[in-house]
Amino acid sequence: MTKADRLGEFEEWILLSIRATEAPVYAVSVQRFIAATTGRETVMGAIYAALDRLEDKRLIRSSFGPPTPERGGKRKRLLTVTPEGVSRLDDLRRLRARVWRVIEEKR
Amino acid sequence: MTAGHRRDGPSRLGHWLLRLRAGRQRAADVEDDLIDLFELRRAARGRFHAEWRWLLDAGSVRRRVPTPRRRGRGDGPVAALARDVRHAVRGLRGAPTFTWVALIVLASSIGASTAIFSVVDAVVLRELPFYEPDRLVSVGEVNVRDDSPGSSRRAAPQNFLDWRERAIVFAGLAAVGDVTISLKREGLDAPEVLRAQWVTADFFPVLRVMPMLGRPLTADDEVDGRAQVAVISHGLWLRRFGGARDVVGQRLPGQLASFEIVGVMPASFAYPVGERSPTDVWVPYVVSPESRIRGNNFGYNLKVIGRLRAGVTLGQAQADMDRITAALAAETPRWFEDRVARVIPLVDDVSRGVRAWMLTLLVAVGLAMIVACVNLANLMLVRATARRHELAVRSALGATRLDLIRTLLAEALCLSLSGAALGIAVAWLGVESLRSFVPPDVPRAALIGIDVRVLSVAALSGIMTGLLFGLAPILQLTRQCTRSVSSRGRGATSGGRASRIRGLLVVSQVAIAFVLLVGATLFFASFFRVTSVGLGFEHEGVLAVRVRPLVGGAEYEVAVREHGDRLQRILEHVATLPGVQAAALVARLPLRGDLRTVGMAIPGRVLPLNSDIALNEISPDYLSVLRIPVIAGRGFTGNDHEAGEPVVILSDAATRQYFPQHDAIGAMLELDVPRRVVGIAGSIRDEGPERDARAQAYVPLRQSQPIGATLVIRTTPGADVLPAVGRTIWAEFPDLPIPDQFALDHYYEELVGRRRFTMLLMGLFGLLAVLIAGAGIYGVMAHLVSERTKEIGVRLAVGAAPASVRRMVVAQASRHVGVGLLVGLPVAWAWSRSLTAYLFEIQPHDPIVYATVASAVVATGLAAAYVPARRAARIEPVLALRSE
Repeated sequence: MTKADRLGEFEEWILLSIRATEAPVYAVSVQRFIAATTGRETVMGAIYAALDRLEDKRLIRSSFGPPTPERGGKRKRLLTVTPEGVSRLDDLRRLRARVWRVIEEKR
Repeated sequence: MTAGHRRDGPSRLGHWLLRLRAGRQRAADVEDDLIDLFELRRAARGRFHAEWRWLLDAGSVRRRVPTPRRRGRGDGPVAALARDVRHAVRGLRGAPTFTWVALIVLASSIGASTAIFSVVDAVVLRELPFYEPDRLVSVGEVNVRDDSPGSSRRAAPQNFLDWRERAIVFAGLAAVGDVTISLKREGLDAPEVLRAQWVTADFFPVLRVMPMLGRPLTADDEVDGRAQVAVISHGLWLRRFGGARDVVGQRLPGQLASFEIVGVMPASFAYPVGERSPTDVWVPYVVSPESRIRGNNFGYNLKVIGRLRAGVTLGQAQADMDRITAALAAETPRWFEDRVARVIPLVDDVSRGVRAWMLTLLVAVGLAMIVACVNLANLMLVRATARRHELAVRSALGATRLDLIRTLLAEALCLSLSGAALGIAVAWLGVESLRSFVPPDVPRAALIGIDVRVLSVAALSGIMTGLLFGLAPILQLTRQCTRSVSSRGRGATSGGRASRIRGLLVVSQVAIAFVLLVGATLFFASFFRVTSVGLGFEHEGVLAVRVRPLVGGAEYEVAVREHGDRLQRILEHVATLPGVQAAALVARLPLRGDLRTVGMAIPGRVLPLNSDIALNEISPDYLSVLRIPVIAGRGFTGNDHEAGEPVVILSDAATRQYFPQHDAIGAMLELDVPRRVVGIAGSIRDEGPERDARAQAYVPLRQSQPIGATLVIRTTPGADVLPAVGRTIWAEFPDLPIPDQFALDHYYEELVGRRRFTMLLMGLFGLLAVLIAGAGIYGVMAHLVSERTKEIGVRLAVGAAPASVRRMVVAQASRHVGVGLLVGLPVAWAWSRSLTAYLFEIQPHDPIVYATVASAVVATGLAAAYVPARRAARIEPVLALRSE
């Protein structure tokens, strides 16, 4: 894994929130999810930048959804986690679980 | 989006911010997301909160920046340039030693050359601030035997009058003479000495300037008795009259006559141009009756300026003046022995005494600049060679030759522009301190400063330096790099071509440094010799106080009758003051160039046609105050007064010239009146150390009806006698303004100031050049050693003694130095010949100077090579071999 491929904490949070939120997921739902679970009001600029990075790393994919009437017929950019992204999250989860087990055995 | 939607939607400011920061495309993509969020927040927490977060969100979105992996090559020229600059800055920060050395070399050379250029520009190059300045000329009388730049070009009034009448090439011809006007104490205004000029009516029309208030002087004002009018400067108008509009018609209270103010000049007008103490008052020049006839009284006291008629060339003007001079010489041959009239551009006259000197300084600083550039080229070459591997890798990864050149050029330009910026700072400091060192006789010194012209020269020289001396190594290097990646490991030096170029650069630095140092040493030796010339009198510890009230025509008779006695009373009182060892009066102070030459005759003998002698009027103690020895006969006594026999003391030089038989004492001389020679005094160099002692005649002040004189006072060290002297003077002349009062040393300093200035600057440039050349030698040798580490390691491993390695490196350096000296020698030889005019009692090809400078350069070169040589000798063979 090169340095550019590494996953930052914020990026991890975004991946998690895309998976945790009910479809269709777009940038605003991610922002709301993070605000609701962590109490942190993240500016949208940071969300978009992180989404761009994740897309560059091919961990998420985005596509335009159908036009919605409440947006005057404009379409939302919908987000899904790629299989690569899913397996990366699983790796991280396993790694953490292993470390926690070690910690608990020490107690 | 409807208008209604927008009314209760988020603010326009956010939309604007979003478009500004994120760009049109991105803004369109995300705008609706942000509005959704705004609506959600307004529903949950109210409009204020939603609006606040909306602005934060809108301001936070940026253009989409692709991550580096995906970045293409065509990002647009601006981004590419920014990247090159970032890369260059990073590269330079990674090599701090190189960067600092290069910046210091650049800043000092650009700074020095900019500072000198600002001086030369103000003094010599800039044109005069008058209408059509190239039509303004100076017409001067020149002695063909002494046509040096320092000689006086002043004209006699008789000649000026004839020129004005006969010349056909001038639209106007004006005479200017210097005079001072002393203002009386009046109300709150203290007595004041004003710098004034007599000018003829043509003066203002020739310069094409008009008063801003009132009228200029006219020919009607040039009539004796009607001459009490004046045009004043803007500065005086503000200072003395508070800028009152009704000043025209008011009186300027001169000490013996008051002047009616008829005009005020505009603030932009200053004459002489750029003088530190510009003229305050212009008064009409009235030609005295004795100045209209061609008698025995030669007074060369007028500067003549003219404006050429349209279309007239300088050559035509000179031809016209030659014609007039020839006609006048036929009428009165005695007036034109060795004298001709010369026409030169006025701007050249302004800078005449200093032009060649200033250009010499410019050449010197230019040479120092070249050394710096060459050094920089060398540094760049060394650095480029050190980066060879990095560049080769980049080239292998797909960078084109152009990419590499751009990278290296960006680095060179970054360096030279920062160097130029630092250089401008150095120049600014330099100019500020140079200004106080500029000798007082330098014209237009007040204009010296950093302006747009100077700044653009500095910036330009920075860019040129960067381009020229960054380019050569770059071209050479990139050719190598694109050829082979693996040139690093192969042991030997970086190709014969590169090291030959570096050798050449070192050689040229040494050569130029040698040339500059020879010049500097010659100037230093000259200065040393000038200051050790005996003047024939002692100027240290002597105070000179001018007591010379201005006397108008009406009071002249009274002044002639009374001032002699008043001066005598002042002298007698001053001599008794505590702290005064001795005091005397003299009409013309030495070292001021203030000479009065008179024709002389010896009854019963035929002297050459232009036998003249410098005449000075002195009180009896003058010779002893200045410690001028009386060689034969006697000095003056109190008995040599009006009623006594007219007597004269001759200087040694005068007796040698006119009485080679040593029969001077007791002889009669025709001077102003027939006088008997009673003594012979030692010769003095009246005009300073660089002029020979002239034939001088001293006559008693009391036999000459003085109007004013200068008090010379030899004081005990540390005594402050001036206040008491001032009170004594005011007791006799209550209205005399605070007189000029200076140590005689001050005038001596004025005479040697220019030499001191030149010597300091040349010394500085020479030193700079030698240090930079030394740094260059060090850099090249250090680089050479690091490149040959392996070879030297092998040598040491197979048993070479460290001393022999040391010798090898030093020998290589001395070859460079030796060749540099060989190249520099003929250049220095040729250049120093052009310096002959500035040298004093030293030959331009003085062998001792050359030998000294050569050994200094060799010593510097060897010292610079010694450090890398020692490093070479300490190379660990094993480590050197393993470094592969």
